[in-house]
Amino acid sequence: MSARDHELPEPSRIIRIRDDAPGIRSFVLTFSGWDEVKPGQMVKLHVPEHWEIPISVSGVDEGTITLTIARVGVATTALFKVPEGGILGLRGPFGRPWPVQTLWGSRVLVVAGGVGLAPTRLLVHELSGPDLTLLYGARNPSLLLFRDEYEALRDQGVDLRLTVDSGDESWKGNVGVVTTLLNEDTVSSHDYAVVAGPPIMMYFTAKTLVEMGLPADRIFVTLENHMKCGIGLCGHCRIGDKYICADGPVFSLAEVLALQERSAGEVW
Amino acid sequence: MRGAKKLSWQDIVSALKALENEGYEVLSPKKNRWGDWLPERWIPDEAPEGFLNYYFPFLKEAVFPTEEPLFFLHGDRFLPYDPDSRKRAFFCARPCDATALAYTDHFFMGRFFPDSRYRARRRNLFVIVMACQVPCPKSFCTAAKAGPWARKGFDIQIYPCREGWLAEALTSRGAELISPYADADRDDISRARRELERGFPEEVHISRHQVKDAELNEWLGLRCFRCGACVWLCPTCTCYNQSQFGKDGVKREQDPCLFEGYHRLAGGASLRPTQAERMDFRYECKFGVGACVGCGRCSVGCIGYAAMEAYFERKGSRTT
Repeated sequence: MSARDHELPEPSRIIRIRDDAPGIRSFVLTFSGWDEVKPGQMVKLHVPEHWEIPISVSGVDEGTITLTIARVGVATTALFKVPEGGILGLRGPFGRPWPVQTLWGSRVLVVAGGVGLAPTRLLVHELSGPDLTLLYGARNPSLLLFRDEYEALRDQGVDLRLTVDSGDESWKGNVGVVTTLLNEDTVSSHDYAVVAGPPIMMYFTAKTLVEMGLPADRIFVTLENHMKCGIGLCGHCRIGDKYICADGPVFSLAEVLALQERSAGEVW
Repeated sequence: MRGAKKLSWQDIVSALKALENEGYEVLSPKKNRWGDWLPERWIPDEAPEGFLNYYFPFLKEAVFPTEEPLFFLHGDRFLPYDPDSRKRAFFCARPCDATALAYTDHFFMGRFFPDSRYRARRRNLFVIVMACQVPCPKSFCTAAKAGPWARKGFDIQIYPCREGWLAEALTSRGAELISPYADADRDDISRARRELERGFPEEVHISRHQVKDAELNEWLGLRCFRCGACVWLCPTCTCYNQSQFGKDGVKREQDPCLFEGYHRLAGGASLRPTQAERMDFRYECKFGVGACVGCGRCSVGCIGYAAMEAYFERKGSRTT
């Protein structure tokens, strides 16, 4: 990152809050480092009267970034109480991004689950076109994120396929976990895969992709749920001799398998 | 090494006085009335007779406090809390702690993002190591290459010898401090090292590639009381957590990896839900990453017999 302070947050005003789904909100925040953010990177977000949490960036516009956040813990519950106009703190961006240059010009399969679409959203916009396939699943139709963007993506040629674990009367699409959208034809027609979502979803998706013939060094995942300090110091995200927040959070599956071998506990 | 010198006790006293004149607060081990050694303001001609080492790693504490406020929101700006970076000189620091300091130097200043708070304090820290003549209880510093003399992490290292003292400098500011004194032969330093090593048998074998031993981890995990003593006492443990400080401030505090909460993710999931896995994580760090200096403090402080001493004895690698 730049010479901007990596230790001290800058004040960031909430410009807009959007309810994307029950328990999931997008916050549009002012941020001077907006033009340094690369797809897959994260920022440290300071929540008033609490502490900082690492959050991946789901959108960038001039002078602002967007963070799409699920309310799951103490800090995010407090964050959901801050209204538009409220002041938060931001520092970053941090971490190894998705390998955009490697993926450019290749046929890319993005598999996202639930709020895992947020860390891939910038990448999807970057690669948007006929060479991109996006398989996206959520627990139910109301939890599908960024629904207003699907049409535009399809217009650009993106092969977008949706699924939900359990549908309702209005749902006419596929029902089942996201791996039910995978088949050997889909996998073999792509050069690379990008996977983001809950750990168990990433584990089974990556496993299925390998079984269907995609090499482990052509599958990329994000281990961002491990991160805490974001600058490789606090130690919480250490696996073997790697620090997920600074060496990652994006890794190839081949790297993850090597980490798993020397890891105490679980990687996924 | 930047020079070998012969010193008398009076030379050492005058060097410490020179440091005081440069604005350093010179700290030396002093036993309190309960028998604990603490770093206190140095008093000339008061030698720390019988000092082995501090129970608490004060050298680490000087650069990385157990708890410190980081920043706070003031109006619409975030402001840092100033780190306590007054000039301090530790006289009679021990080789294991200096070695640990070299490790934390690399960790905080030589990797992804330098830690400005650590760096501010480290720049103003002068370390005078006194090589060890007697091993500490439960220590294995020779095997960890951190004793009885230090290879790194100091400004000056002093060795006892028959004629008085020998000194070597590792940094330019150390070399400058001892430059007025008589030169010694480098062989004298080598002899002094060999002499000290005779009293420090290498009792354990440390491999940087420890084979994972699930049964050992489970045994250690069952014995661990999750008190965190081994972490508070370890001169190389640097893991920390952030939490609220005051109304709008944030502090960092050391966070023992043997606590369940250390491994908890947002939403309550845990990457290492069992104490055996947390033990594995700790020993992987201490040996795999190379963060153990063999000071033995964790074994002295452990109430459950789950620290290094137990690790080696259970592993069967102790040779004496």
